[in-house]
Amino acid sequence: MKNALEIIAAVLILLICAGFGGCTDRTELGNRAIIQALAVDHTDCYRVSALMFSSGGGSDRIDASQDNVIKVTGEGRTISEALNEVSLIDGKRVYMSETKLLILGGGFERESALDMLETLYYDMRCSLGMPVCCVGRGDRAEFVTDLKFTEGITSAEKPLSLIENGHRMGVSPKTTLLDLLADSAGGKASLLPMLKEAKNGRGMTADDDRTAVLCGSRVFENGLLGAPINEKETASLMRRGK
Amino acid sequence: MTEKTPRISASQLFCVLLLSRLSAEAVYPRTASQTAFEAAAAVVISELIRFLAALPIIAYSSRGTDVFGALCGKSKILGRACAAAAAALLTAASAWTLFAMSRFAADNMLAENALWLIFALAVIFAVYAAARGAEALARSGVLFLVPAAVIAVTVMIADAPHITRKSFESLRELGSNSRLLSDILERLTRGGEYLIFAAMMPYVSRKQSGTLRNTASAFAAASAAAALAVCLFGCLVLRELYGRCEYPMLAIASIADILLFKRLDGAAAAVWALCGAFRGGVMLWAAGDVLVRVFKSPEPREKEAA
Repeated sequence: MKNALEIIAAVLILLICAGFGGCTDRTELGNRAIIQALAVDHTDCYRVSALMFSSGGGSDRIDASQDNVIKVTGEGRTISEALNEVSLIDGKRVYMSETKLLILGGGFERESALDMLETLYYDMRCSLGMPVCCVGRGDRAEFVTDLKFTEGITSAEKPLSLIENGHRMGVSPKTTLLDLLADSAGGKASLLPMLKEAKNGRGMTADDDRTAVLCGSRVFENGLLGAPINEKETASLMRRGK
Repeated sequence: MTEKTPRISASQLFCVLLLSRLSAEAVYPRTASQTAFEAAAAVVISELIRFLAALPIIAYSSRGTDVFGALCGKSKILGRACAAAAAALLTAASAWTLFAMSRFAADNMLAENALWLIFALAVIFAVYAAARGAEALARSGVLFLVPAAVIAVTVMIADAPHITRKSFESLRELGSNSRLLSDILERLTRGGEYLIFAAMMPYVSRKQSGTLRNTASAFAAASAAAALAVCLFGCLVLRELYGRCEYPMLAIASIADILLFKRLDGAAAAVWALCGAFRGGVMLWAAGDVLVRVFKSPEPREKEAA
C-alpha cells in the first residue's frame, strides 16, 4: 500500500514537473532587458534612461567595451509606465534585480521620489543593496548614461566604482536603496553622492575628455532632494556620522 | 505478527520542531508590528503563551507515552475529543502553511501566475511526506535543517557589515506599539509545533523517552531564541524598513553579497519554500497519526496508560 502510494506520488510529481514546471511565465535570458544602470529625471512626467546589458552585438564572447551596453529611454506618468515604454522599445522584458546603480536627476526637488523608489523595490525587484546617487540641481541624470565609459565590462561600472572609491576615501557617501527607504520610513534624512559632468584627461569615455566626477552630495529628505553640499561639507558631515 | 513501531531519537524530534518553527518565520508574511521593540515583544509574549499552553503536554512528556492514548485511558470521550481537536488544528495549520508557502514561492521566485500550480505541488509533496511516516520525517527533518541553517548563517554573516550605528538607533525607537496585540495573535495562529511534539512523542526511542521533557524545554528555548534572533537581526539590517517588509528573511537575503552570488534571496526562497512544504507534511502526518492512534486501537493505549 505504501509502495503504491509512493509510486503514485512520484508519477504525479514527474507528470506535473514535465507538463508545467518552468513553463509558466517563462522568459529566456536573451529576452530580458537586463538594466545595469537607471537614470530617472522628472519634469511633467518620469523620463528614464536605462543602460542595458547586451552581449556585444552578436559576438560570442563579452567584449570589455561600451559595445556591451545599449541605452534606451522611456517616458510615462509613472515609473512603471516609463519602464514599460523601455520594454516596448527594446522588445524585451525589463529585469532589474541586477541593476547596479540608480541616478536621481532633475525634478526631484519638487516631486517626491519615494513612490518611485517603492515601486522599484516592491514591484521591479531592485536589490535593497543597489547604490543610489544624484546629479546637481538643474542637471539631468541622463548625462551619466550618455557618457560611454570605456573601463569595465559595462559602462555602468565606472560611476559605481567612483562612488565606492569616494566612500572608501571618506570624501563621499555611499547610499543604498535600503538606506533611502529605511531613513524615509523613520522620518530621517539621507546623504546622496552627487555626480557632475566634467572635462578631465582623455580616454575615460568614448567622447574623449568628457567624464563624470563626484562633487559633494545632496540631502534626501521626505522623498525630496535638497540643495547641493560641496565636497568639504560632505566630508565633514560624513566624519560626524550624519 | 505485530508491525514494528517506528523509532526516532529525541534530537531528531528537536530538529523537526526547530525546522518547523523557522519555516513558519520565513514563509508566513508579516503584516503587523512596525518597530523592533514591538516585534521583539510580540515574539517573546507569543512564545511564552505557547509554552504555557503546552505545559500539560510538556509535563506529561516526562512519562514518554502517548498523551491522547492516556487521555482515552481516563475518559474515552475526552481523549477522542482532544485528539479530534488536535487533528483539526493540525490539518488547518498544514493547509494554511502550504498555502502561505505557495504564496511565498510565487511572490519571491518570480512565478506570480503559478500560485495554484505551486500549491498543488506542495500538497502532493506534503501528502507524500506524511505517507512516509515518522521515521522518514525525522530523518528528513535533520537533512532539511542543514541547508536551512547554512543559508541562515550565510545571510547573517554576509549582512553583518550592513549593521551600522543607525541600526542600533532604530532599535531604541519604541513607537506607539498599537499593533502589538495583532502581532501576538498573528504569531499565535502560526504555531502548532507542540502538537507535533505530542504526536511524535510515542515514537521516540524508549531509551531516550526520559529526555523528552528536556527536548521540549530545549525546543521552547531554541524556538524563542531563533525567532528573536531572526526578528532582531532583521530589524538591525532593515532598520525602519522592517515594519514594511512582508518577508524580512528574504529582504535581508537580497542584500547578502557573497563571493559567488550578488544576492541570496533566490536560494533562500527555494530552501525556505521546501522547508515550508515539509512543515505542512509533518503537520498532516501528525494530524492523521493522532486520529489513527486514538480511533483505531484504543485498548492497547488504555492498557499502556493504565
